[in-house]
Amino acid sequence: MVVYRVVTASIIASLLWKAVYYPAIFSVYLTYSLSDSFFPDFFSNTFVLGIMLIVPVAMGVIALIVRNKPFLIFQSTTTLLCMFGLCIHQGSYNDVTFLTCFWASLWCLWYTVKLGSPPRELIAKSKKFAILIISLIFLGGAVGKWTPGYWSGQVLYEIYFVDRDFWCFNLLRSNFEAEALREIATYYSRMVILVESACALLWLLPVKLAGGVAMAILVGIAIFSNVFLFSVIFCMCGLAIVCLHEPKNRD
Amino acid sequence: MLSLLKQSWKSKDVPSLVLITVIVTAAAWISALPLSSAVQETFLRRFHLASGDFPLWAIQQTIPSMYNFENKVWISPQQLMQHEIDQLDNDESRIINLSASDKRNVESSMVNHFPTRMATFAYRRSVLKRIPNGYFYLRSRYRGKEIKTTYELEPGTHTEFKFKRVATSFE
Repeated sequence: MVVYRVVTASIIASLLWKAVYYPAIFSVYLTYSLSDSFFPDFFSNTFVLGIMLIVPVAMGVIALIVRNKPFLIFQSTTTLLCMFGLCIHQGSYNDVTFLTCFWASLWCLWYTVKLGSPPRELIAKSKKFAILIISLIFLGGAVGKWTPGYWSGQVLYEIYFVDRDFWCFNLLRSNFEAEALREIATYYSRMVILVESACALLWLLPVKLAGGVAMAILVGIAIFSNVFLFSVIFCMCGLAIVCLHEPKNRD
Repeated sequence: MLSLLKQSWKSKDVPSLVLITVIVTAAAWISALPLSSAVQETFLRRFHLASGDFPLWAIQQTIPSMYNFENKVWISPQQLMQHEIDQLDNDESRIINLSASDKRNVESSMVNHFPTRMATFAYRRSVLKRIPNGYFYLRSRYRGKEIKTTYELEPGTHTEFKFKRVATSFE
């Protein structure tokens, strides 16, 4: 149950990381409505968006205490559905937080269904699925960057290096001329591509080592590019902790 | 991975087999991206909200794709010709005055993923009030494939806006 609680807590942390901005975002959505024939009315509704954010957090908090299997299956199913809903809602479809939470929730649903299995088998499979999901997330990030705009560094140069107010880019701008900055962006971008591509193969490593590497890379991504990304990576860190976990009593 | 599959198959562990299938399917779909023009088109349409229909788009939303493709947006209060967008593409400044006489200011930015977010997401919706009759020109590139989409904004009441896809084309 420890690993389930860790992943559930990490999903809650992901959902709450940017909560300080939610009132302003909801205020904008309630003020300016955008009708778009692509999205069904249900998935454009601001109240639906709010419910899909609040319910998984509230049920997740209860799941940190409760040990009842039917409730935990219900809770993880509800969270999974809400995360899917957030992935396709007009107001949140572009936020990858909900996509990583969707995959972490899928792991949670599998785990709750498997509760009651022999503990040794359950923890071994939990670790393998956790690292498979982390590898999949890295694969999705890497393959979409195998394109000249990323290899040249132009995309990340424009997104981060030109004017992003963040400690490492501010530091670079204050120490390097524009030409050197553009060159650094190329190396930065290539490093991102290579690291993400390598991390897509984490599932080939021993699971504990893979979990440690994943944790270091995930935290590094947020620290060196954008702290908002912690909302995306917290739930992945939860899965990485599963890989590192060594139960005291294996039986 | 193989041992997990074998073990799950042997013990008829259906939940594990289902999860393996889901993960492998998603990984195969992502891995096909650099190899297949049709898959590239599907991914790029997804980023421009230009998939055939909503359910087809929705199912793809579970596929990890953070910071994918070269996505650029030009937001203009007036309609632009393609050669004007190309001209803007070569200009490094973010706010470009096309013509000092008619004050056609065009906002341009590179976007990490889902360039449509520049109209739909959070505080960006306040842009709608500034240019209620504006145009959004989106371009996403992946290797040799390029998708271009034009969205038109139409004001409803003073707080309601219509975001209408006018055209999508591939090169």
